[in-house]
Amino acid sequence: MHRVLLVEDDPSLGRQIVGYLQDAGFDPTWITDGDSALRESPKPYALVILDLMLPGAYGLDVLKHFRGGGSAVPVLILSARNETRDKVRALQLGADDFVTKPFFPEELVARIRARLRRPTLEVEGTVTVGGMEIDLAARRVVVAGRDVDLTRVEFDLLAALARRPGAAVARSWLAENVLDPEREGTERTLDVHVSRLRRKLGDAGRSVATVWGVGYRLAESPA
Amino acid sequence: MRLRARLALTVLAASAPLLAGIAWLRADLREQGADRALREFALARMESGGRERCEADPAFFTIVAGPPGAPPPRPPGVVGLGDPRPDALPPPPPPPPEGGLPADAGASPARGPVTQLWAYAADLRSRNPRAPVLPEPLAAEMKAGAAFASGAFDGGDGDGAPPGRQVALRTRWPDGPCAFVLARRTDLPQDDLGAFPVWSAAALVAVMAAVVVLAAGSVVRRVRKLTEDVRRAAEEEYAAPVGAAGSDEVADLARAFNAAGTAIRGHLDELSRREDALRRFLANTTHDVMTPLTVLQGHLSRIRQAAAEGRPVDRETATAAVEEAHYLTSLVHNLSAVAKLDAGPQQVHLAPVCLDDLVRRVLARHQPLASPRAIDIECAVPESPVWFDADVTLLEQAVGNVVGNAVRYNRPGGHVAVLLEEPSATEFSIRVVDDGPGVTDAQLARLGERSYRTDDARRRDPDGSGLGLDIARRVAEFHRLRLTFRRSEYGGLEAEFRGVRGAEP
Repeated sequence: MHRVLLVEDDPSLGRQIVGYLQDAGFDPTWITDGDSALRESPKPYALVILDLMLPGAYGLDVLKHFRGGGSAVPVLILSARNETRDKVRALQLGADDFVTKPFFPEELVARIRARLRRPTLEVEGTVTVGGMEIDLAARRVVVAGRDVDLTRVEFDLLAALARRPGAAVARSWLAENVLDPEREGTERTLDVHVSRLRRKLGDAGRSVATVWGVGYRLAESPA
Repeated sequence: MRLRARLALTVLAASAPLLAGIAWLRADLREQGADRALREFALARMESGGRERCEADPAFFTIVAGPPGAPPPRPPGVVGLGDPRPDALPPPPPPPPEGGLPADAGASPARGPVTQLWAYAADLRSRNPRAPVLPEPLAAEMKAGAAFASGAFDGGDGDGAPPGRQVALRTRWPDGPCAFVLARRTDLPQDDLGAFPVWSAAALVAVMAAVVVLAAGSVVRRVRKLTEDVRRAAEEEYAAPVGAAGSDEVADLARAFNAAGTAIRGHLDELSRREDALRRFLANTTHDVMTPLTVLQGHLSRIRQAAAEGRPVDRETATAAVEEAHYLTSLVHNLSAVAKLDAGPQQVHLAPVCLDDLVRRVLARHQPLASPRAIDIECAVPESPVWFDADVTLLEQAVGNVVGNAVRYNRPGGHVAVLLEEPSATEFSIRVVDDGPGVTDAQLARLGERSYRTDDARRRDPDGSGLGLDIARRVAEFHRLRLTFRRSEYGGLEAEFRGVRGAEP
C-alpha cells in the first residue's frame, strides 16, 4: 500500500481527501501546517499532496525544502488560486503536477495513480502484460510458454504499445513510427496489421485493445 | 519674471558697463588730446617770447589765454606776449596793481576755457609769488627727470577756479627762472558731459532692447501656446497630443510632453481596463454563479431528503448535482479567464508548458463528468513530451472548454478522444474528437468565427458553451494557435488546436 503525505490546512477538505485516499487504497498521513511539513521527512512516502496556502511555511517553501534535501518524491500541488505564476513557480521548483481546486475525488485519485505509474514509461527490458512476456531487446514474444512468430512490423507494433502499457497510442503515431514508410503505410494498413497480430497472439491478443478515436492500447488485463 | 522682461533687463544690464567703458575711453582720449594741446601751447608761448619775459621779470611772469569768444579783444596769447607786465592784460574790472589781474582773469570760469602759464626755476619754485605751488605729483615727476607730466586740476586753491587739466613740462633753459612751466586749463565741466552723446546712447540701448523683445516675441507666443495646450491636454487626460510643429527647442519640448502624455494615457487606459475587467468579472461571477448554485443546492437537498426518509438516493439527481458542480467550476474558471484576457497581455504569463501533462489534466478533470453518463473519454500523447510556450491556466481552460462541450453534448455511451500529435516536423496539434450528435452546417460555420462578444454569448447561451468556445478562440488567437472545427469521421464534431512546438526547457 502506497503511503501518501497530505499537507492541507482546511479541516473539511483535509478530512475529505483522507477519505478519498483511503477509499482508493492509499495509506494517507495528514499534516495541517507548513512548519510541521518542514519537519517531516518525505522519505517514507510514495507521493506528497501539498496545498500552497498554508499557515506557517508556504507550500512552495515546503517543496523547496524537500527538493533541497535531495528527495525526488512525486509532489502534487493543490492550488486554490488558479494562478499561472504559482503553477509555473511550483513546476520550476520541482513539483510534478498540480490540481486546481475545486476538484472531484476521482480526479485527484486518477492524477495520483498516473503519477505513481509514471516510471513504467522507462521500460526497456522485458514487459509482462496481459499474459505475454515481451522481450524488447531480443525482439521475442512468449505467450503461455510458447514463442510467437511475428513479422517485423507486428513486433514493432506490439513493442510500441508495450513500452507504454496502459496508455493509448494514437494510430497516427503508430502508422508513422512502425509502418514501413516505403510501402505507404496508412492507418488502414495499420488496422490490418493489428488484426493479424491479435490472431497470432491468440487469447492474449484480446489485451491489444482498440481505443475509440485514438488507436490502440496494451491493457494490463484483457478487456 | 516673464521671459520678455528678463531679456530686456539682460540687454540693459549688458549695455550699462559697455556704455560706461565707451564713456571712459572717450574721456581718456579727450584728456590726452587736451594735455597734448596744452603742452604744445605752453612750449610755443615760451619759445615765442615767453622765455624772455620770464627771465626779464620773473616775479611777475605769467601768461593768460582767455576763452576764444571772451570779451578780451585780442587773442589772449598775444596779450601777454611782449607785454612786460601782466596789467597789460584785458580790461576786466579794476586792474589790481601787480599780477593780481592774471589771477582774476583765471577766475572767470563761466566764460569758457582759460589757460594760464607759470614758470618755475630748477628748484621747482616760482619767482612769481602769485604762482601756485607746483602740485606734488607733477613736481615729483619733474624731479624724476620726466619731460612732462599731466594730471587733473581740481580747481582748488580756494580761488574758485573751475576744475580742468594741468601740465608741467621741462623747458630747454634749465638754468633760468623758467626751467619748468606749469600750464593750467580750466574747462567748463558741462562741456565734458555735454560732449558725451547721452541721448544717442540711450536710443541705441532702447533699439537693442526693442529688437530683442521683438525677436523674443515669437518664442514667447509659442511657449504661451504650448502652456495653454499642455493645460488643456492635462484636463482632457492626455487624450490628444499638443501641437509639435517645427524643429526648435519649443517643438522638442512639445514632443517630449507628447511622449510623456502618451505614456500616462497608456497607464490610465491600462488602469481603467483592469478596473472595468474586474468590475465586469465581479458582476458576471455573482450573477452567473447564483443560478447553478441554486440548482446544486436543490439537488443536494433532494438527496438529503431521500436519505432522511430512507429512500434510495436518486442516481439521476446525484449525477445532476455532480454535473452542476462541475459546470460551476468551469464557469468560474471561464469568467476568470475572460477577466485575464480582457485585462490585456500583461496579465498573461507565458512559460514552457508540457502539453502531455496538460492533456492528461484536462482528461482527469472531465472524467468525473463523463463516467456517470457512460461516456468514454480517452487520450493519447506521443512518446516524448511536447512543449509549448503558453499561459498554462488559459490554455488548459481553452482545451478543457472544448473537451467539456464534447462530453456535455454527447449521448450516453458516446465517446470523446483527445489526441496530442505531431502532424509535421515543427507542429503539434491537439484534436478533440467526439461521436455526439454533431452540428448543422450553419452552426459549424459559426463555430469557427469569433462572432459575438463574451457578454452576449453568455446571455444567449445560458449553459455557457458559447462563453467556453469564445474563450477557446480568444486563447488560441492569443497563443497563435489555429482552432478549427470540422465534422469528425464518427459523425460528431472534431476540434483542433494547431501550433508550432516550443523548445523543451
